Amino acid sequence: MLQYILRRILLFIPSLFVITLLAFIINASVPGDPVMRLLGAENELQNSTAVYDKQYEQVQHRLGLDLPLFYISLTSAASPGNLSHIHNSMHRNMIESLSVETGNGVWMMQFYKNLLIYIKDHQDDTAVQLNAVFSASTVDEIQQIVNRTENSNASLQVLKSDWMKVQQTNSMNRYIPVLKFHPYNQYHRWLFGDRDGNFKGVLKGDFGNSFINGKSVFSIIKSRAGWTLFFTLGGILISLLIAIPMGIRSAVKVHSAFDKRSAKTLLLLHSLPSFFTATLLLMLFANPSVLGWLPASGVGPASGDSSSFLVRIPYLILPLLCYALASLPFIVRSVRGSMLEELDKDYILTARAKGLSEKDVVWNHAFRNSLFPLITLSAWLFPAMIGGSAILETVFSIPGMGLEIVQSIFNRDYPMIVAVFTLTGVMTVAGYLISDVLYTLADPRVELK
Amino acid sequence: MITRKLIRNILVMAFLMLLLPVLVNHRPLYINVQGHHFFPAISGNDILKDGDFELNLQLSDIKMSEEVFVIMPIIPWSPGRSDLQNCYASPFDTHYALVNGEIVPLPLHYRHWFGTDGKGADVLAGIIYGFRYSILLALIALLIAAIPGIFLGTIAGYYGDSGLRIKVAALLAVLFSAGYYLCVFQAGIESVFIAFICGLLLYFIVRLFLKQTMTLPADRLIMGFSEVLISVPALIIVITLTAIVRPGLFTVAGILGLLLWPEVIRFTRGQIIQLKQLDYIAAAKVMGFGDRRIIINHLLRNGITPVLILLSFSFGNFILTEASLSFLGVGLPSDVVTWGSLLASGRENFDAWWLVMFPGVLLMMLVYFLVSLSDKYQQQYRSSKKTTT
Repeated sequence: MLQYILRRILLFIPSLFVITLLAFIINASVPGDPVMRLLGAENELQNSTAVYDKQYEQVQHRLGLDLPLFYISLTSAASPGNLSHIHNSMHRNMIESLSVETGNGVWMMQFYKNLLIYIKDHQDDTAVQLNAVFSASTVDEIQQIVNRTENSNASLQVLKSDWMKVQQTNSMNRYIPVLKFHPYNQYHRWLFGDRDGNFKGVLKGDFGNSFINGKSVFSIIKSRAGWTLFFTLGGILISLLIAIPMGIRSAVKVHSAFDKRSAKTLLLLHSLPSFFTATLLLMLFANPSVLGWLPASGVGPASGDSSSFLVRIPYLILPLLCYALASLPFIVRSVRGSMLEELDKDYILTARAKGLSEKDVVWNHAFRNSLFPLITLSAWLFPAMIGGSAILETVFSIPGMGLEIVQSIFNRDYPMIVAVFTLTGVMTVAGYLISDVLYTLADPRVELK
Repeated sequence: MITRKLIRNILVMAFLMLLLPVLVNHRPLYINVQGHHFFPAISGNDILKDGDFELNLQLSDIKMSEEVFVIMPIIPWSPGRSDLQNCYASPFDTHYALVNGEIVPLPLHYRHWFGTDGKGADVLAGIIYGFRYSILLALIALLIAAIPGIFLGTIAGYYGDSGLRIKVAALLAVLFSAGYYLCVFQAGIESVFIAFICGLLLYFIVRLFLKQTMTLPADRLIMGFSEVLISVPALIIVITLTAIVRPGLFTVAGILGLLLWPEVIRFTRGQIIQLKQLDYIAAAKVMGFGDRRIIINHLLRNGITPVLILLSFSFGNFILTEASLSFLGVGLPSDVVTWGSLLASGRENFDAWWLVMFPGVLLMMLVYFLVSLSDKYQQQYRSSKKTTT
C-alpha cells in the first residue's frame, strides 16, 4: 500500500514539471515587451536616450529577461547570439536578417556596437548618414551607405574595417547547427529563483509582482483563493445534499416515472448555461423593480463592518445556488449510475433474501458501497468547478481566483495569468492524486498496480 | 436512414446560412434611385456608385423616403449596428425613427421584434448571426477534435506498448533532421531540403551498422500526452491561451477541439482494445491483411459509433463553452455579436430582460435538443448492441 502511494507521488512529479513548462511557455510567448510595459508610457517619449537604455537594462536584468530562454538553445553558426538586450525592434530585425544573409552574426554584432558608439560620440553629418543603416534590410543597402561616408577619423576606419569583415560572407555558416547548453537560464530562474536573491522562484511560491499594482502575485492569490474554495466546496456540498436522495430514488425505482422525469430535468439543467441562470436570478431577486430582496454583487456590504457572518448571508444565497445547480446534473447521474451497479450485485440479493428491510438494503448496503466511485468523481468535479467559477465569480463580482484571471486577461497582467494557470494545474493534479490514494485506502478490493 | 436525414438537414442549414446576408441585413436588397439600380445587400457596400451618381447609405434615410423604390430584407437590421432612437427598446414598446428631423413611430417592417441593446442594436439580427457563428465554431472544433483524436487513439489502442516497431536508424534520422531544421530554419526554404537530405543520408549510413528495430511505447506516450492536457481545468486553459493568441473563430475552435483530444483518444483506444481481441481480427491477421486495412476496414468501421456519439455530445458542449467565453468577453473579436455577448450586455441593465431571455432560452433549447439527440443515439446504439450479443 505504502509503496503504491509512494509510486503515485513519484508519478506526480513529471506532471508538475509539464505544467510548469507549459506555464513558462505561456509566460515567454506573451505578446509585447514586458520591460517596456513596466517602464511605462511616460518613458517612451525619450525612447532613444541613454538614460532610458540604462533603465531598460536594469529592469531587464531584474526580470531575468537578459538570460537565454531554456537549458538548450538550437541555433545556426550564423546567429548573432542573444539579442534580448536590444530593445529597439527595428535594430533587432536588422541584425537578425543581415546575420542570416551574411552568415556572419558575430561580426555583425561587433559592427552594430561600434556603429552605436560612433553615432553617440560624433554628432556630425556622417553620423546622420549612418543612422540610415538601422532601417536597411540588405547588405547592398548598407554597403552604399558606408561607401558614401567620407571622413578620415579613426573610429570610422574601425567601423569600415568591421564592415569589411561582415562582408566576408560565410554563407555556409547558415547551415551549421550549433547546440548550446545554458545551466542558468530564464526557465531555471523562474523555477528556482534569482542568483541575486531578488526573486525566490515559483517553487518557493514567488510568482513575481503584478504588472498592475506591483503587489506580490502570490499574496493576491492567497487572499482570493478563500472565496473560490468556499463557493466551490459549498456548492458541491449543497448539490450533494440534493443529489444523493434524488440519485438513490432514481436508481431504486429505475425506469419509473420519477426516474424519467428527473432525467429530463437534469438534461435541461445541463443545457442551462450557468451564466444564464445567474443573470436570470439576479434579474429576478436583485432588481429593485421586480423583487429587490437580495444584493446584486459582492460578498458583503461595501461599507460598514462585515465581521459577523450573518450580514454576508444574503450575499451568498444566489451564488451558492448557482454553484450547486451547475454541478447537480453531473452528481445525480453518477450517484444513480454507481447505485444501479451496486443494486445489481449478489450481496444485495442475499440481503433481500435474509429479509432485511428495503431501507436497510438501500442505505446500509448498497449506498455505502456506491460511495467509492464518488471519490473519483470529486477529482473530476473540482477542476470543472474551478473553471466554472471564472464565469460565476464574474457575474456575482466575487473576489475570487476566477474573477482575478478574467480581470488579468483584460488588463494583460501576465504574471497573474501564469500564476493562476500554474496553481489551478497543480491543484487539479493534486486532486487526482488525493482521490486515487483515498480510493485505495477506502476500498481494499481495489487492485494496486 | 438517419444519416441521410442528417445530411439533408445539414445541407438545408448551410444553404440558409449562405442566404443570411439576404435575409438579415440593414442594406436594402434592391434600390432604384432615379433610374439607377443597386443591390447593396449582395454587394455589401454602403457607398453605391453608378457612373457619376453616388449614394451613401449611411448618411441618407433613403429607406424612409418615398421617392425611391426599395426592397428591404425580411429583417432590415444588421447585428451590432446601432439605432440610436431605440436604445434598450423593449419588444413591447413603441419604436421610433428619425425622419427629416422629426421623431415618428417606426414602421412595422422595421420593428425590433426582440428588442434592442444599449446601443440600439437589434437583438433578433444578433441572435440569427450568433447562431451561425456558434454552429460554425462548434463544427470546426469538432473536426479539430475528431481527426487527430481518433488517429492517436487508434494508434494507442491497436499497437499498445509493444506493437509499434520502428527502425532505430529511422528514429535517429527523424530526430536529427527535426533538430537540424530547428537550428537553421532562418536560412530560408532551402533548409527544409537540406534537413531532409541530411536525414535521408544519415538513415542509410546508420542502417549499415544498426539494423535493430525498437518498440515505441505508443500507448504510454499518447496516454501521457493526453494526461497532461487534462491536468489543468479546460476553461482556465482556454482563457489563458486567449490572452496570448489573437482572438478569432479559428483560434477558439482550435483550442476547444484540442481540449477534447484526451476524451476522444480514451474512447477510441478503449473501443479498439476491446475489438482487437475478437476472432475476426485474428482471422484478418491470418489472412495476411496489413495493419492499415485492419484498422480502417475492420476496427474503425465497427468501433467508431461510440466515438461519434461522444462527439455529438461535445457539439452541444462546444456551443455552451463558446457562449461562456463570449459572455466573459475573451477569445472572440469584440465586434462579433454572439449569444454570449448579448447575454453579457443584459447584465448592464437588469430591466432589459429581453437581452437575457431570448438568447438564453434559445441557447438552452439548442443545447437541450443536441444533447437529447445524442442521448437518443446512445440508447439506440446500446439496444442494437444488446440484440446482437
